[in-house]
Amino acid sequence: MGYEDEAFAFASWLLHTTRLTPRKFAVLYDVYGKKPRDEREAALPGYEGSKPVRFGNGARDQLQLDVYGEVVDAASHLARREPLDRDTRRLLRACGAFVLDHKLDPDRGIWETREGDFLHTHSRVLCWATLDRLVHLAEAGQLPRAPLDRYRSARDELRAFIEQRCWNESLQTYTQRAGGDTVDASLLLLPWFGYCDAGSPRMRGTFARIDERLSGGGALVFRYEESRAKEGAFLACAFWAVDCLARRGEVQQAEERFAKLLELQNDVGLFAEMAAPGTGEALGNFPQAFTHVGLINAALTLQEARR
Amino acid sequence: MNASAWLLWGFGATLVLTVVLQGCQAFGISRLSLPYVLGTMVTAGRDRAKLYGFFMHLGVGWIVALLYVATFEQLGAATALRGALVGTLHALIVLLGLFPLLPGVHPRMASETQGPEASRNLEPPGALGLHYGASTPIATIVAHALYGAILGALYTVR
Repeated sequence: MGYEDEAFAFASWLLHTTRLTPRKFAVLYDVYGKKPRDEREAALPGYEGSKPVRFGNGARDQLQLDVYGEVVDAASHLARREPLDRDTRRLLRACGAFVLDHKLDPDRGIWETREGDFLHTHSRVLCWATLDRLVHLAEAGQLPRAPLDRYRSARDELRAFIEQRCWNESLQTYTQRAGGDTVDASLLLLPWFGYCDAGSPRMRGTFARIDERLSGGGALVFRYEESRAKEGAFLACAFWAVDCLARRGEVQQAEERFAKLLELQNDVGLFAEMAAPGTGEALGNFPQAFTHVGLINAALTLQEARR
Repeated sequence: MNASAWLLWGFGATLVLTVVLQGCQAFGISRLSLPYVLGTMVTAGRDRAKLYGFFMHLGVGWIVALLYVATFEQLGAATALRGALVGTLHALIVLLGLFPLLPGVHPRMASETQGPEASRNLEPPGALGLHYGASTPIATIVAHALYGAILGALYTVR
């Protein structure tokens, strides 16, 4: 989109922020790189009686392996413009070292669930993406002294793990967790990260199962199966579905879904985190950057698909 | 004034100060790199900023050593303790006086009183440099006290 200066500013902030936690990233940092306060519940009434009301953030000490994939993927986009500087290369090698050591550790995953740590498929795919981008950077000479062979073999090992353990043959879908039988909307991101083609039989099967189990009616999509009973449909996931459809060439269907989702914006074009199925009422955090990032990515993919 | 001692030990003390502060950053004690802060005043490139900043810091350290030398000459003797005390005072001036002013004069440092600009991608250190980590004030004081102690111990008043 041409916001190169902003992208470099973000990389600078990331380098500065992670300076005190170079080996293991925190999940959350404030603008100065401090961790948010630990979570506590307050005996206060929430909006329209929602509960519990919490201060701080319980995710602050969680392990979420997907963050490494997000960071390395972002840096690999930057590297297309100009050579990476020493600090960025050091940060990327540190990401690689952490992922090599922890790629098969259970984690909380993208949704920061409170049920404990599991082998989330999305996190494994993002670990795969970390190593894949590092392999490409090293092959392009952008990452001197990187253990290229280790990156390659670990990447292939992860793919084998995902294809064997995170695929459910009887349901014909990738699953939320290794060995599981539930689905998760974060699986819609697999093509976006270049793990597989959106039109591949396995991804088509996954999309169909997500549509069957997580649809909130219209274009809405819930995050994961347990979330259906507890919260609204998650708007970022709905835009991921649009993205996935556009990538496999079903542009008309993608555009119809996109148009329905745009109706959920408020009078100044902002979206909430979630929407109530049926009414479309805004729920959760507002405004939610995550939703808007999903919207922008879906719009860019649609634009590309139309050409 | 003992010019040769100033030149020699001013250089040595600045080198130690730089190494200690960079070491604090490398070991995750503080995010502060004074050479980087100085270097980004003249260039946006991270690698170049570190190189230029190293020499700028060396130059500044050499000049500031003159103030230490003048203090020792005024007091009639130079000792490690006196040097450390002057170094602590120096650190407090940096932490309480210089750091809060930096966003106003540094061309690439973000300011808490202005909106975001993509070209200002150096974070403001804040009062006592606490935005650069809770240990930043201690690391800054220790490094500057060491700088002063080296000058005080090795400079000879004539």
